[in-house]
Amino acid sequence: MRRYVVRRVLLVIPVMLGVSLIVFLLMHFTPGDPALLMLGERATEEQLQLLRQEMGLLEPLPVQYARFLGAALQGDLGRSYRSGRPVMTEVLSRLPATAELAVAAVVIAVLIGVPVGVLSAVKQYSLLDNAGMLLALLGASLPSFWLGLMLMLLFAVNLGWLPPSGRDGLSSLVLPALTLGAGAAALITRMTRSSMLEVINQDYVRTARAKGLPEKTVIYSHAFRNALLPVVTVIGLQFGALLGGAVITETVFAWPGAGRLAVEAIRAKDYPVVQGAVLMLAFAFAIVNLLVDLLYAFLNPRIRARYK
Amino acid sequence: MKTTGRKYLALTLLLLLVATLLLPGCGRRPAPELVIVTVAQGADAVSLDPHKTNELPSARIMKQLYDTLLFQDEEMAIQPGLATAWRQMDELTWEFTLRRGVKFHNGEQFTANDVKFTFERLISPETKSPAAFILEPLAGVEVVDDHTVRITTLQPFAPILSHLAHSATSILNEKAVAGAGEAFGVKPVGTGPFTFSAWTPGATVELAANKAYWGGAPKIDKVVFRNIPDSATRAVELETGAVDIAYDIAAQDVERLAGNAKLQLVRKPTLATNYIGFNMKKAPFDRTEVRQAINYAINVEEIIDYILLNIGTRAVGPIPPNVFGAHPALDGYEYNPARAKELLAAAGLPDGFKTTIWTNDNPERVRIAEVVQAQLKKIGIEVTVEVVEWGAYLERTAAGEHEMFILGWFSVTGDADYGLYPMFHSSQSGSAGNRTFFSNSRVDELLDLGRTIINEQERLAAYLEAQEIITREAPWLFLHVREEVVGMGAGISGFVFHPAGHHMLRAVEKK
Amino acid sequence: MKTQPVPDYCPSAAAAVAEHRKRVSDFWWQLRRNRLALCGAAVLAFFTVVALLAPWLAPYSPTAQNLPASLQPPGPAHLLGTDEFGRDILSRIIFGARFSLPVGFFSVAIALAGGGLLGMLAGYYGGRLDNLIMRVMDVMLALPTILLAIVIVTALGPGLTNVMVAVGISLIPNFARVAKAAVLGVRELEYVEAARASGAGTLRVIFRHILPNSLAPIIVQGTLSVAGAILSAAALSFIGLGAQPPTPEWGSMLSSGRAFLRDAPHVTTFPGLAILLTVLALNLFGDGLRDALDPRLRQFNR
Repeated sequence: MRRYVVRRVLLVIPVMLGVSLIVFLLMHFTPGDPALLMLGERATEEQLQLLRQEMGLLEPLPVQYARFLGAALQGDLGRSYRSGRPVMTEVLSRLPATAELAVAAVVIAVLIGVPVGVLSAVKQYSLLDNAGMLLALLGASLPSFWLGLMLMLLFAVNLGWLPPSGRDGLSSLVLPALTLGAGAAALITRMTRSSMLEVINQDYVRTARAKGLPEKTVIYSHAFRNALLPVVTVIGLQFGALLGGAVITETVFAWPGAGRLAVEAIRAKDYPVVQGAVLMLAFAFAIVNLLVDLLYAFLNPRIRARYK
Repeated sequence: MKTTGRKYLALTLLLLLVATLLLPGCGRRPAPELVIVTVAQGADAVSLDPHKTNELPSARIMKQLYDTLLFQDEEMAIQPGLATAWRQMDELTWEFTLRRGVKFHNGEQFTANDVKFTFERLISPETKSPAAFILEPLAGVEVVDDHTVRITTLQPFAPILSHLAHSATSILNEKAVAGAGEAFGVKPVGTGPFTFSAWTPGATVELAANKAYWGGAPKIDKVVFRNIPDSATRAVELETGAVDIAYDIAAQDVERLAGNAKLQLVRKPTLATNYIGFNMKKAPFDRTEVRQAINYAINVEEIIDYILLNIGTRAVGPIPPNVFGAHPALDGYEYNPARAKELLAAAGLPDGFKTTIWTNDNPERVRIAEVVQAQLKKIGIEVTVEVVEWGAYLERTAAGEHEMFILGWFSVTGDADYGLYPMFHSSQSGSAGNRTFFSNSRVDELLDLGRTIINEQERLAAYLEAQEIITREAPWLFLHVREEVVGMGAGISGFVFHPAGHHMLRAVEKK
Repeated sequence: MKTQPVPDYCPSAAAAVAEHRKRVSDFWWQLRRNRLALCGAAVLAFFTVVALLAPWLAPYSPTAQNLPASLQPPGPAHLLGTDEFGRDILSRIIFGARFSLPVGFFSVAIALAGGGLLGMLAGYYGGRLDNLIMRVMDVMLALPTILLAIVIVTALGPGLTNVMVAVGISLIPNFARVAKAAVLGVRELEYVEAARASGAGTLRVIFRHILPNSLAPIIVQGTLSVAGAILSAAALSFIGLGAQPPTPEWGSMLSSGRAFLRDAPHVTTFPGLAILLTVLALNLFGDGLRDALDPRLRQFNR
């Protein structure tokens, strides 16, 4: 097991390298000159050239990448073109907001998705099942920019229970987390249901039933644990998607997260901030991914066995 | 590492989760007796160093932190600021008498040296300021004594006073700038009515009243600028009372908010004109008739009525009426599709042609482009609307790859020079501002004249003629003068709307 | 009905063909028996027909503006009302089927083809190939989906085709992961081992034995991803990187109508319903497909 853990931890390194390279290349092949964007609608050619030089944009791409990588390895992600602030500070100030939102959304999604999914599977084709699935479909088909505004109108304007936006305490987390978690809840519900259904019909569950074990024991101790495997994968994937996918929710709820920072930087061609934000989000995701994989290994005796 | 390991892992995960959930719960709660005014706008500041940025969201905050030598009031008239008196010594030299007893937020006394330091920093190539062009003609700053400075320019520069009221020329303190180094943009020090207290990136900038302000202490204790990018959310925050003042209320929210007794709306024209430019280097836009035809073919009133929902007024010429030098009686182009067809025929294009119109992703501009597309179809011009991402937009319009494009221009200084020179002088072609590549030797002459003659009457005459030519030559399809709607809680008073968009909060009171 | 998942390690070609036919007819039989799945298929067929016949069905041109008639609520002249340009919403939804369905399907097709294949190869072969594929997938996966899509669209420029490519590419790793997990789940099962032991070719094992038996999670992922892709396209329009105007794509109708949500909710409601209905249909159909494909689930069908 330890070998497996060490291997997985070490694998984060090439992943981060790959991420940085892809982001670097994509950004540099994107039309739009960062110098021009900084100077705006009034820029003279001399000013532009000076700025490009200062930004290191006139050097060959491999040199630029090597320079970035060298500095990054020493923990220096450079300074934002736009604000002049160190990228590390800028990203670190926004990352907790995003992490908090993603965690809350995943928690909501799991709390809704897993029980509803299990119940739906156990009572397949019942009213409960149909209602649950319809709800899941609704969750999966409402875009967050629309759902978010509706929730805001309902809970903040009409009922006055929760603050409409901003990041100030637990109450302000509820609406954005619900908005962000809705899609994930839907996916987890469906995954849980379908995975449970599959397991319920497998031989060992049938055997357990045949042995006369109580239905509850069969479902919860035999079926559920085995059905969890793909569900865990989906939860992990969702968490990653939520980390970076919070962009829209962050915009609607004026949530000062790293996703919005990244999008604003992409549009302003603020290369250092894009690199920094995406790298840190990817890093956070890689860590989550690692935990999920480890959990997966714990849950799946077959994988565990292979690394014994 | 079997069951125990698993349990441990689960426990750690759970703890981490609880910790992240609880952390934001312990936010600061201000003492209740403080009067705090929350102001919402659609973007976070980029930097609070006036030399490091040149955009409105930052300027709106910097206006509260800093003072300029001169102020412009709501009518754009020049008023004393950190300078109490000024006079022109000769064509190239101005002398300013500075206000005494003004202190920076760090306790330093304000003197002539600060002016010299500030202006030299702004134009120094090392600063790489995107606002350096504001003092582009500056030759030098001479400290006569602690309270007198002389400013010399390379050429005569008529609009200099309005430039010295631009927030990019806010006076900085050398000691504060040197002390903060690169971090000055997040630790700003000025002489303004509010002092900087905190900045949560992406979320809020907090300012505190400067009780020692030379113009009298503000009547509120704190201002919190909140970044709320979605206009629908901004409106909701205003309605629920969480925000006291909200800038840039979207047109579709105006009617509803106006009907809300708990709110008040201020709605005034800004100094910005929106237009659709033609790339005059490309056929058929090199033909005056074609550009005029398009001006006749578009029903701008209808756009204002139904797309802007009446938030905005028809623009007949290139600069808004509240800008110095604006032509009071331009004819403009009425909606006349028949005339448009005639002109197209005269240009040898009776069946129209195919073209594209570029817009950035601003929803209002996209909508306008869609209407223009539909209306031009009626005279046979097939338009493809292309939403071009802002970075590519700036680059490709500067390079002249475009055909028609939709943009706006803010005459921030309230002077025709700022409104016309960068847009229509042939020396400014491309990235410097003239993206239509308009080139007219008479207009060049007139704009140079307007820049350099000090006599107001002569300046005015030059600008009037220039506007007549520009309107006739129609490098733009003239759209509208932007209006801004500011929403406020009923208990707010003393708010001063500024046509340049950076409203003054010094006199704001909250009941 | 009692179909055992009997492995066909019968060497005779004729028997294999017969077995295949039996499976196929079984599949159709199963699918037809599932009423909900048929409903789903009917709705999808309906939208497809609507898309094909759009010019004949739509009462107005989807792009014809009539500004004085903007934001009208549903009424006799405009059954579903008009949008901010006075365009007929019903006509736009009808024409929108021509854009929104392809957005969903092509994006997922890109993702499915790329990700599904990579995932299955990784799961089947394991070892070095698995490592290589999954590391590349890890890199893509570590780049948040919507951010990756935004960067790709920023690089390629806004527009529907680029949106499809961007959304498709950004979904690849998800499919790879699910496909791999699914293959891992069945790879070690006896009948696959048996098929392999009997000397069946790799491709044959993958496509005849592993694919049908690991399809369930891939289909669930796929059907929901079509919805997800339509929504991602909508999200991109919300950021201003979606379909080029005046394309009547449902997602962009939804995002541009959002500005009028409070005073003219019908502008978003109907395109929203169109998306919802499509998603619902896809899922019902997907479920039916899964049940029919996966022999292990059959007993539970009533």
